[in-house]
Amino acid sequence: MSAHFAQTAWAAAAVLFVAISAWGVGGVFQEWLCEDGDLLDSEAAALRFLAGVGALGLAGFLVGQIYFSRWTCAAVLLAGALLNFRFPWRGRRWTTLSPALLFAAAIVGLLLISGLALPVGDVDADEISYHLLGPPIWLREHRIAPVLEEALTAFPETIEVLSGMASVLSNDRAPGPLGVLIFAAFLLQARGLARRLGGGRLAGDLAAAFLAGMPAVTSTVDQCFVDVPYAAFILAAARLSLEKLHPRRAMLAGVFAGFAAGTKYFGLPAIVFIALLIVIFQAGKIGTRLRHAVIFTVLSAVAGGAWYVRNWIVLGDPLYPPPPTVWHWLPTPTFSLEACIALKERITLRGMGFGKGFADLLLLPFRLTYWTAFFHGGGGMGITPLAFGPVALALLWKNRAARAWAALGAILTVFWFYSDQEFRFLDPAVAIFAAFAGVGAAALLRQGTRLSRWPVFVAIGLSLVLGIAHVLSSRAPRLLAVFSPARAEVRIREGVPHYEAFAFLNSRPEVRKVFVCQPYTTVYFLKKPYTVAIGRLGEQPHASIGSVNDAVASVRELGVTHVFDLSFYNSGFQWPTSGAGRLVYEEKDVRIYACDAGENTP
Amino acid sequence: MNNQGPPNWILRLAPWWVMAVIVGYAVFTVLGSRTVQRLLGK
Repeated sequence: MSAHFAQTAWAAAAVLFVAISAWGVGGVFQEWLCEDGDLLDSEAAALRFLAGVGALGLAGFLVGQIYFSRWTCAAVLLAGALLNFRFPWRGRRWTTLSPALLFAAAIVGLLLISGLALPVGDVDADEISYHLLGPPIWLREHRIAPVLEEALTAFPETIEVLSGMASVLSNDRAPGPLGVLIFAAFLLQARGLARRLGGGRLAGDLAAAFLAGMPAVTSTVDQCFVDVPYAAFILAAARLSLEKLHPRRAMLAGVFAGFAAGTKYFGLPAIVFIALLIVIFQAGKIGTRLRHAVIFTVLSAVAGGAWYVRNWIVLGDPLYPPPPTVWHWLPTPTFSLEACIALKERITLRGMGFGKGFADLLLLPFRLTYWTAFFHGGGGMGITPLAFGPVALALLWKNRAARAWAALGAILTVFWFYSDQEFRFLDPAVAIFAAFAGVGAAALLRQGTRLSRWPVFVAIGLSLVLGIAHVLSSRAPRLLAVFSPARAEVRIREGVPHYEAFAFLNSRPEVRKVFVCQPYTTVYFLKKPYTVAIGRLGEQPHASIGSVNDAVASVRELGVTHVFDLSFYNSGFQWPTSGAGRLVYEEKDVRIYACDAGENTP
Repeated sequence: MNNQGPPNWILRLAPWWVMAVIVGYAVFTVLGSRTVQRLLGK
């Protein structure tokens, strides 16, 4: 029992250490953030923290190219934490908590706790299949490198590096709460944006509450996904770019955009969109606007380019897994063209949403509000954007900055609509919707008559109740698992596929390397080195091994001591019983073979 | 927003719009419920 709470406390301490370190590193950017005086103190604090998160993740990645260990992680984080002495916080005005902010704080608090639960799930859960897969392997191999058996670990992983640093210093409970701290900064950004749009304090607080109450946003923040951090970086880049711009600001905005590209591939098109908006919406001569756009783009390449250069050098493609068109130019041996095409088809099918026609685009605001299930939305975004967003647009139409923000929201939405309609990929635009909704709701509450206010209260109440009900209902098992070791044990046994089989392998020192036959095995729970013949997306880590049968003859060459064979949904076992090794473990869907002579039987 | 406050027509129309959005939400929530879907044979 005490081990459970000790692990939880240790993870919380590691997250706090990372947060303090990120705050220190963000201090390097503080002067540039505050020099124009147009950011709220809370917003500047959020951007300082986010800048630190991005820079620390990048620093961890670069150091990890040379050596990755607990000591190097601790050294990087300690260096960041010491910067706090050099860059103390200059903000003075701390905000008082309104009911709307209290609501947002309550959501953040609940998610911080639920984030401390151990991750469970099968291979369909992104955090299990790849977000959390890298750090333990980097720690074993002492280098941050893509896992060839799982191509999606070659995605830019700024956030995974940072959360990985927290988890290697503590345990796998750490990445969840770290994501929630970034989410808290994201809420402060939405609040600052609503204030910037002219909505006043009520509008800002409502915007933060609306965003905190959107199930489509909150459904991933405590589960090691990177959509909210990516959205926060994009929002930061846009916030700085769409103000009065000068070269230093363009550089800082570019750094944030680079961090976004270092977090998610979607950051790349967003850089182009923001650069375009700089040219279109900034005042001044066209030459100056173009110069700022170029500065912005160059700095984003500097801050975010490391991941793409690494992929190009190590895997042969800056974008990996490569789109089929890129593969034709830069073929890579570890990911076949067929696998590229299959992955593209899979993404296209999953991202269809409600269709891609022009009428579908026009109906999108209604469908995003009412028919959320079609966008893998986890409960949608409530009704406040549709109820109050158009009101704010009508009120703010003569405001140039508001038009620029509306344009960014529209461009991001149209791009999302025609690329991949997964709700969480829309998070940057959703934050803009929340800011506009906050402005619209505040205007109606201020200006309307008593009779006209009640639908406003109903719409706000419905959305916020929906938001907190979703958090409570979806997080109940996680929350209980944090406070009750018995519940945690039950959750792990029910949520970890083939728990006993993995425990068998993980507990035996003679297990040195495992060959995994079925690509849909949840290898995250296997704490030993492993390899596969073909990965779940068609990855082929070994050029000469294209099937399980090839591997049977190559056991010694692969250095494999054990084989994990899974009959996935009764698909049948693949490892031949007459093949190398003898059966040492068997349950309904799992067989484990020992390949070395003299292995112990259970 | 400018200092003169928002135009009146927006404030007159807005509550009706908000109400329509709420009613739409209620309708779609009921229509999407398992009970109604079962009654509709889907």
